Amino acid sequence: MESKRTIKFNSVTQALHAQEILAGKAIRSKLVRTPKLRSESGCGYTLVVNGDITKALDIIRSSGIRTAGD
Amino acid sequence: MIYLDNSATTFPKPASVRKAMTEAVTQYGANPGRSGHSMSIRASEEIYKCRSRAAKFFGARSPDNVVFTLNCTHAINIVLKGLLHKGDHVVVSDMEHNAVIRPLYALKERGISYSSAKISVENSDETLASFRNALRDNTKLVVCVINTE
Repeated sequence: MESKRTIKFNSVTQALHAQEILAGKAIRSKLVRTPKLRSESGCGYTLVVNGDITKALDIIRSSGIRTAGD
Repeated sequence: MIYLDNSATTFPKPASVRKAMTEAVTQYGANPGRSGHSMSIRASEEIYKCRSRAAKFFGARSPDNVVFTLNCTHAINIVLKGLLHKGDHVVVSDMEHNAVIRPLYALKERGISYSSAKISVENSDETLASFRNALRDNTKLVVCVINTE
């Protein structure tokens, strides 16, 4: 998985919430389980973003959703 | 039998509920929020949709503020035992369900107190006054889960 287009979350709820917010801004993403080797906290989920990752991160953070490592 | 115990659980369940439950069990009955396969993701998405609708319905700030519990008693216990500390006070009605009174009574051992406000069935102003009068400086919670039995 290309790390530059991915955003990690600690829970599936946060990931799905972020996906919903991004979809509202016409940014598509795919929800996948965070690969174990790269996970820092265990059970996490990752959004693979189809678009500008910096913009996606800004949108997610300004919506109050925490990403893994925040 | 004429079933009248709907405050315990509804019967019969609406057709839409039976349909949704059957679909969940037969088409995506996997563990949500744990795996990466399609059934698990689908289960997670359905739960999230429910969480999101509940948030909108109750005016919660975000779906993240919705917590699903086993039942009302479980939820009440989480609130009471999670929020209250020694020295706190709670106001309840004089018609409370056991799910409220029993844990509160047990919490007295931890230094938590409570007062019962009288409910006047025919006079809501009197009821409000009763609740107002029961409030103290250390009141942390007002709980009202009326016993329907």
